[in-house]
Amino acid sequence: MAKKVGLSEEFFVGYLNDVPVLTKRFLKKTALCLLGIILIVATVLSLNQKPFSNSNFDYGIVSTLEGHLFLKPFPHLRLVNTTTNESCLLVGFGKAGAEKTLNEFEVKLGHLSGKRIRLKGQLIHGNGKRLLQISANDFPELLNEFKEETPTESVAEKITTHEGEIVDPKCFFGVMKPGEGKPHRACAIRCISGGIPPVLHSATEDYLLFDENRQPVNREVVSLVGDVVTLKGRIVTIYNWKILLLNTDDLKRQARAVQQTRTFTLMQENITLCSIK
Amino acid sequence: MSASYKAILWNRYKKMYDWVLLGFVLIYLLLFISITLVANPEVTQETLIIRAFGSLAILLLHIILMIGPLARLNSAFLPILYNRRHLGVTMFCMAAIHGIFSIIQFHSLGNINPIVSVFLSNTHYESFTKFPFEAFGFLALVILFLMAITSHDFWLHNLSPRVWKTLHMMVYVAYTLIILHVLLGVLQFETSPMFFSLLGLGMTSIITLHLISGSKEYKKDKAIENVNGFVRICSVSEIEEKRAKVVCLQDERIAIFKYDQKISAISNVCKHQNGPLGEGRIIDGCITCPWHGYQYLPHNGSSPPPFKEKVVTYQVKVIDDEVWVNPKPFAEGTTLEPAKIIN
Ligand code: HEM
Ligand code: FES
Repeated sequence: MAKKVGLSEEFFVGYLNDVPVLTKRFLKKTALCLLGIILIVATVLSLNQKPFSNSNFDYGIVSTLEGHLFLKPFPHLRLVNTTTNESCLLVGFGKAGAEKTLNEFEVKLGHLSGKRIRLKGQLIHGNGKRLLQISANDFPELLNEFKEETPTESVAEKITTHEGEIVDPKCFFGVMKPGEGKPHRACAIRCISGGIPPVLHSATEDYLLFDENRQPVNREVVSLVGDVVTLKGRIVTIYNWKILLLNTDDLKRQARAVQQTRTFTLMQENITLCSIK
Repeated sequence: MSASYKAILWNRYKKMYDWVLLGFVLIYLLLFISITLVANPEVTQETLIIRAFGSLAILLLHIILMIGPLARLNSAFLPILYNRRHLGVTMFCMAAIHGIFSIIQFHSLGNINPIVSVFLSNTHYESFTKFPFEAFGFLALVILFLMAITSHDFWLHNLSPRVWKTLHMMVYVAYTLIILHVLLGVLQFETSPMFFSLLGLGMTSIITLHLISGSKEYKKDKAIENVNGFVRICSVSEIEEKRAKVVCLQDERIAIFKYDQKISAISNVCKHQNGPLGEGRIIDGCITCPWHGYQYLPHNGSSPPPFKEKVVTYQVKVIDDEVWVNPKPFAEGTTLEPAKIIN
């Protein structure tokens, strides 16, 4: 009769085919434990993610929109054949604004601002807004109808203050989820550096950001992207878009303050550990 | 055991190990993806891939880092350690898929090179909470990459054991970088306390296991009494037949084997992959490494012909039923007379 051996008596050598009985039993138990851990971790992690927005990017689906093209202060297509007051913000392929593609169209078709065109692209929609990603391959159709060079707009009397996070509208309104917050900060910085107009996303409204002369502020806001900021400005309404005209000196001061104050903050409680001016 | 590094062949256990590993990987990915799709159907495919693979990689890394100390505390875990490199390479692949998808999603198609963008888009290197966490992930991935490509025996034979060991100790650097990557990345966005709790639990388990196994080793290593260069180790009866006691003398681990009324001491470090010879046994007259079964003769530390592996040997004396070892190593493969046990 074989002598009984305990687990610690067994000797397992990797190259031998037969795993001793007790070792086998121990390994099976260990594998079951691991399986349990894997099931628990997968369940806990997947169930506790923040909900995603219901915005969307119609990736790979080409839509055709018809309207009047405006290039200033930001490229957008004021839609016709619609009962709503809607204008569609235009963006380029990848992390780029629409300007380069529109310039290529203008080389072939001549001056486009204010003209009625039929534009192809992929739709991005969320938070009540629509954006169209255009590419140089999808050439627009020029329709012979000219409106005015500048869109109809209404300017608010008062300067108001708004708190929110600076995001890039392409990702935020549908291409990425999450398209905001810390994980997305670097991407938003790339998009805004690439010419997509920045947006201040506040609890109540999303504002495109420009300076008082309706010039882009992309360069100035880059160091503020992804954080909660408070911005002051005059609201301009262009169709269904709200624009915040910012005081550039104010903006530069805020951006400089962020860059110069080397503050190490601990977690999100903003405990200031040390400050090097 | 041969001079060639292809000595370790595929066998049933090894195949089983890989099938179980593959099963675990698929179960995790399928479960994570399907639960997310059901509970959170608005998710994008990219986010699903990035999160499923990233979280699986960090889970596997925790398992890998726990096996070492668990096997030291309980040798029954050794068979899991045996194929740990497959776990490691799998973990690297999962992390690489996560990293590559993140770079494609967040850093490509912009106005600068995607890799440059990882480091220079968010430049808040001065701030803790705003810190560009992607940089930590990237550096960790580079370390994991170097470890994965050098995990093959070829490198073990062509890099010096010290270089190889140092490189593979870098896994702790990578682990730290990944913890920071998660802490300063997605945890600045997600609000559920579950993420903090799980990460905390993982870190605590790893640190605790290392502390416990470390202190156990330390206690074992406290050798004393030195006469004529010989150090008293223990009584003969404390070593089991065909097994060894491992001591650390002058920073070197020595395995002292008892067999056939004799005692011999050789290096504890296997030439194959630095496996612990002292945790092995004497089979057919040869000290057999518990990891992959390389064999050495106890009296000269050499693999039996035709194999060429050799380890250093140590002089042993038995005086009044006590085992004494001289910590001065003899050249690899030096034949030394075993100490006789006189009853
Ligand atoms: C090229 C290197 C890497 C880059 C660019 C990168 C980028 C990112 C990004 C952008 C996120 C946030 C994604 C989100 O919104 O959920 C993230 C999260 C995460 N990363 Fe990485 N990462 C890299 C390497 C690694 C490595 C090597 C690991 C190792 C395990 C890792 C583990 C994680 C984990 C566990 C998370 C949290 C789960 C998640 O959000 O996906 N990352 N990473
Ligand atoms: S046989 Fe592989 S480490 Fe010893």
